[in-house]
Amino acid sequence: MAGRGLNREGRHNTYYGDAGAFCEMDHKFRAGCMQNVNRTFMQAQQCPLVTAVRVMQSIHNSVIIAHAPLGCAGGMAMENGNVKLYRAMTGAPHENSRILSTNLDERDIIMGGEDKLRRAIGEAVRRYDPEVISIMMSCASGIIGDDVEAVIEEMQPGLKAVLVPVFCEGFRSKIPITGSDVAFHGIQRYLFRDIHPVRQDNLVNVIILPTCGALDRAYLTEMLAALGLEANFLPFAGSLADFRRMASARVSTSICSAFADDLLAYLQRTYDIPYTRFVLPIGSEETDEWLRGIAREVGREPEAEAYLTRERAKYMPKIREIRQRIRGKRVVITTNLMRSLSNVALARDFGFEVVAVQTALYDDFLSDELTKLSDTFGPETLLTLNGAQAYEQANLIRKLDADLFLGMGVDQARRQGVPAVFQVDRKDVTFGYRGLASLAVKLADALDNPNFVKKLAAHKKLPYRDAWYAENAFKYIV
Amino acid sequence: MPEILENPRASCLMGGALGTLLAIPRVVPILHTGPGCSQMTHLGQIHQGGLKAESYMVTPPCTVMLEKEIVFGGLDRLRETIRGAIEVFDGDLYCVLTGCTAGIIGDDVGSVIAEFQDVPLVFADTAGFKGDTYAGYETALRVLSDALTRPRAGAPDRRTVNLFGIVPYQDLYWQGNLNEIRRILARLGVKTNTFFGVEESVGAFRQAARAACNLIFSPWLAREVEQVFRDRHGVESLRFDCCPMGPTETTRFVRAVGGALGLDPARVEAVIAEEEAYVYSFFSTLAGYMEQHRVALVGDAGTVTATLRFLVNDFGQIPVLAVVTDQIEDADARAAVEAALGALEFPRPPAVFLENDQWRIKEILRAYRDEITQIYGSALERETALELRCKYVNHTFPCSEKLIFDKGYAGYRGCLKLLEDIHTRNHLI
Repeated sequence: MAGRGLNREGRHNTYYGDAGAFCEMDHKFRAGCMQNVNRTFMQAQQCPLVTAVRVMQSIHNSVIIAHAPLGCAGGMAMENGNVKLYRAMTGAPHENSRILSTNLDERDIIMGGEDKLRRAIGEAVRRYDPEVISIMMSCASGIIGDDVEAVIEEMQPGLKAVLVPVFCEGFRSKIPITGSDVAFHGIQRYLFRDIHPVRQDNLVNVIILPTCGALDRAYLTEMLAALGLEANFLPFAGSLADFRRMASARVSTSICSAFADDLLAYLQRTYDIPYTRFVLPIGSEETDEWLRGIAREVGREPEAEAYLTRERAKYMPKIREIRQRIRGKRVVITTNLMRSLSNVALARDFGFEVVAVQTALYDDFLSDELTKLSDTFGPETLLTLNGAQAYEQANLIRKLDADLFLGMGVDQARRQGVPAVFQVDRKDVTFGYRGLASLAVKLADALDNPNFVKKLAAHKKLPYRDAWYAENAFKYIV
Repeated sequence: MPEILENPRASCLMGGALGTLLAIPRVVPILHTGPGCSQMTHLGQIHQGGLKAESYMVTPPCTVMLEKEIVFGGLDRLRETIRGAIEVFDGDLYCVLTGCTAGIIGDDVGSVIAEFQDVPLVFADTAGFKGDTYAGYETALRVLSDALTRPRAGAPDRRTVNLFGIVPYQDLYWQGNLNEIRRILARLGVKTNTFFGVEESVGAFRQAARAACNLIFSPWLAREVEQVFRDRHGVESLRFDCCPMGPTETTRFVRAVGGALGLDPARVEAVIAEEEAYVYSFFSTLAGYMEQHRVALVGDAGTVTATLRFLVNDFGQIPVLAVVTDQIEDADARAAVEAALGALEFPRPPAVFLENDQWRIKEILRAYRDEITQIYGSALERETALELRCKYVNHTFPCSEKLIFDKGYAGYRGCLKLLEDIHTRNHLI
């Protein structure tokens, strides 16, 4: 069981589900009386398998096995598109992700699926001779109790490919990011064996999400090169060698504060590699802080200042001009990514009035960050930890009379007539000053021409009853 | 028996049932599943079926079964979820779909359904491990027709037909194909229940027993529904090998329907003449630069059969290879699909394979590398087409490369859309 890792629910001071004014929520949290909250009615969510797939699938020269019935490979089909887009944008040859489904059927549910898993591993080796084979568990293979670790112990000797089990059974957690946690746990336990690192003084590990496209990657490379650093990007499209090279780095950083925190702590513990993760290069102050934080670790502060000055000169005039046009707008910020916090920070750059913030969970780090930002958004701002309950969002959007929606879930906001921007864009730069300028243009454009969303809302209704909008949005919280 | 599969070309039984239900406006699925089954099947079935998200639902209600429900059972959770779904969602029909979790632990869903007497609420046993997308389509058809289709009161309506055999989101062009068949039949004075699509509702299932007959566009799908309609409602079915595409096959279809419904032959022939004239006026503009390719097709039985017949019988292409990617277990059904692929106006039938594993499909295509010049396949075949330096048409599931609203390739006019596509540079390599 050692490879299974911990659920987010099991972490100290980590909560999900609640909703209320920020001041109340924060008071509850600090007084130690916040609780995990359930709903008697929910819409479907993400499961840990999806977030785990996003960590494992793009690993270069790897095969991903869905130890599951057919449908669980759906997220892999989607991720295949993301990997192909990345390959196309970097000039790599077109190539499908190598996805194997054990295609569990009724007989396997009764008799066990371990033989099929053995065959899948065998076929992965025979067909592609990969360096890494990720074995993704599912509800079905988890409930029937297939012993994947025993299969790995039996098959690993003599194989070139490293077999990595990922215990991302869908039912194991209500907090989807648990899936990426257990995937990083698998990486840490299985890909870092027998490493004897030689410190590389200019190497920085950059943990990136699949939502970080090729242009973002190129821009981050440029930012770090200004400090004389070489970026080792992981896990998206990284190779086994890149993973193992992590142990040689001078410093690590992550572009998502919630992502891979265990792995970064492990690298510090085991290989004495310091890390920065609490600030992401989204928003002007945060970009400055992010680069300065890394510069401090490697003693390159003057280079960082010089670079930031150049970037500010290049992009701030545009950002200031747009700020004049969009300041004071009432904004709902909602996303399951930890980028939602950075979005709140963006409100400072653009002078927004934040009327609601949704995050997936609440912990010490979020509490500190939100307290820092509460000057921007005010103590009465609504904070919801509901993780994509669209029916609540629809109810709130109508009541809050928002001008703009920023984050995940744009489809529903637009169908309610609210201009909306999702700042994840795999074909654009979204980080640093260039990303800020690009986002400013998108926000202004969304506000300048709302014709599509306004007319759409006039023609089409969402599937909720009219009476629902008169109810308390959090009626089903118990 | 289902074996391990590389790059699956279908979702699970629940994914197929969900896609089928979401193709009917104002139906609210209620998932009794783990937290992610909706997203996984959306990504694997609906998103890969032409990018179009479903038009009515946002995210379906779900019991979000966690460890507690796995251990202690999920019926309490289901009861409160149904109650919430009815309060929050405005639907004509609510349908509980079970996933692997509920299927394995054996929740007695029917007992909870029975508690909701005054609500249009039904239940489909759709545990993912019990089959694939097609099994999900069959299950949804069975549940909907059992629950909704009422016995006919009077005589059948001689000018109405039911249409089955096109699986929403597995056939990328399902909406457009249904539209074109409906358009053609309307010209003959025949009304079509297509059951699925933006202009339909669950009402079509309620009226279905009044139809003169069922038209089934598949040699193997909808067998159960065919039997139910024959035994319970006295409605016979006319089976076709595929949804007709191109003038030859469509004219054959129109004459068959005209004969079965006893339509005025003069009117039927007049419609055929007008439709063929329209299509051929465009065909003639292609005479200067049409190319004869040696084609391989990879995809679901219906699309491959229909496309092959158009390409060979109407467009003069040379059939070399057909790979059917559906998991068809029944030997008779396999034989019927193979026979349908051989029935061409051409002396040499194509080599036919029933194969759904990506690696083996690629090996088959490689084995024919010297004989084929063009591949009609899914997004997964682009890689192979590049390797073999064949022209490539993105034509079958899975397809996340293009948005498909109501484009269809069926009937008289649909084949013109295919000709436009294959003469667009984007689709050539």
